[in-house]
Amino acid sequence: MSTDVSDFVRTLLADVLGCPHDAVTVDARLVDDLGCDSLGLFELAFGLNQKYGIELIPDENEDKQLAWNVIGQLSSGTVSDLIAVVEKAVEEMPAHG
Amino acid sequence: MADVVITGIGVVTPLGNDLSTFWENLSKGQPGIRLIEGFDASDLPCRIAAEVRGFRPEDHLPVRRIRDMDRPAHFAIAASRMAIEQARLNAPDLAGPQSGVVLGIGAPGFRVFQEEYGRVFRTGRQVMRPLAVPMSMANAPVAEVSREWGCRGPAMAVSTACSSAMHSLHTAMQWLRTGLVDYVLAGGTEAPLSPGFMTAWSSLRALSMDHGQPHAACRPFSADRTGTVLGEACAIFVLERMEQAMHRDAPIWGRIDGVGLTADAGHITQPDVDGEARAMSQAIRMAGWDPMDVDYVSAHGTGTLLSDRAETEALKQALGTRATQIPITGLKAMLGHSLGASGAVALAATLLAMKNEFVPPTINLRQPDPACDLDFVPQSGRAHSIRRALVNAFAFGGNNVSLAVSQV
Repeated sequence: MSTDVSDFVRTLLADVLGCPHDAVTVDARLVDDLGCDSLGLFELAFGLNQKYGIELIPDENEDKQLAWNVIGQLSSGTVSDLIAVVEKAVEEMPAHG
Repeated sequence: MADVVITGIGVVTPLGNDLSTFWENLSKGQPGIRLIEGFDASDLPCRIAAEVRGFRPEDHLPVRRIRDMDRPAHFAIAASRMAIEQARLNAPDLAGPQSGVVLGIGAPGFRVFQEEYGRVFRTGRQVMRPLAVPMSMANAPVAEVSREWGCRGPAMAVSTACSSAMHSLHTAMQWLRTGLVDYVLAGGTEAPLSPGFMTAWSSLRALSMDHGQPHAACRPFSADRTGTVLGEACAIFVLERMEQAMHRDAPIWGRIDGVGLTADAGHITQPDVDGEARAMSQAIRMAGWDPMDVDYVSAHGTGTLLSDRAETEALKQALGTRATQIPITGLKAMLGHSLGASGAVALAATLLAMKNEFVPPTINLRQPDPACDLDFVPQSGRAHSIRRALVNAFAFGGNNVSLAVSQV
């Protein structure tokens, strides 16, 4: 687990959800423990896009089912699940230049 | 028709974020206008505004909600809480279908647009915060106030530029008179100050660019006026039927006796004497007063040539000789022009003037415009007993509202 990505994701979660940084443990569940709702997920996706250029949630117009599957997975997952998804997406980003 | 009274007042203004500070500064003629500090205005044609200072949203809201709301909603939560406390109500009293919310806002969303559109143009990427929409909509502050207190009756925003708050008070009065609800949180909130908004207003050539003396930049009814000054503010009232207020022994600040509402059907920005005079006359008629009953007028008084002169003429037309006998103040010299909130802020000031039997001054009025030859209370406030007052708010688009308020 990359420390940079992990730290950024946890700080972003704390900002978006308005909870103390300490509460954003790797085991915390996004919805059940941290109170993330659908707007929170989209805000989270926006923050990650700004930082890494990744699309956490696929474009609904291109593949509605895929988009809803991702939202469903994130909603039932933990912070460490989210970090893993972000790390994978960052790795798969085409290299610049 | 049931009498409608004001039992609570909450304010967030450039002159103070609580009632006592607001009145202290207002009655002493303190200027609330300065060079802009809230953002980098160094490249802007106009760098003067009446900003709310020392307001901490974290004193009023949990962190999550602060981030999800724009500044007008932050103000509205704080002011509504003050008004509810003032009215000696508790949150459960308002929770339910017996309570409504109606707030005026003339320029919603400008700060959000600045931030989000700015990012798109800077980066070339069509990506915005998902909350940009719910944060910038005109009824965002209303929705947040309704959520905060659990008000489940009607909840709506009124947007008629600079008369927005006054229209909202009329709507609240109707809801109470028809028995639709028992309590209404009504007023106005405005916080559009941002580089784009300042630039747009500068293009209208209506703003004072008196950067050498920003505290004195707004000079209503003065021969040496240089234009108006934009501001931000919020004032929210608890309104209820008088019978209920008396039954629960609530403090009664004043009774809304009449509201005059007119449109010019004329120029989009220029004032119209007839439209303004008709609004005042209607308010007086609805209140069952005679023009000679009016003890005080809180003028719209923006500090632009056309606005000051039209209002002076309209006052003479509506009040006749009474216009020359009573004090009239232009509070925007101190408070700047908080657009959709300005009428509510002026009403709060008027109720405080009634209570304290003291009229606040029109500051910066050293050289009266000969065409504005009424008693505009230049420079210093004065003791004056007010039983009945008019509060004026006139707006771009040709809206004119005058509200008649009396001591009970």
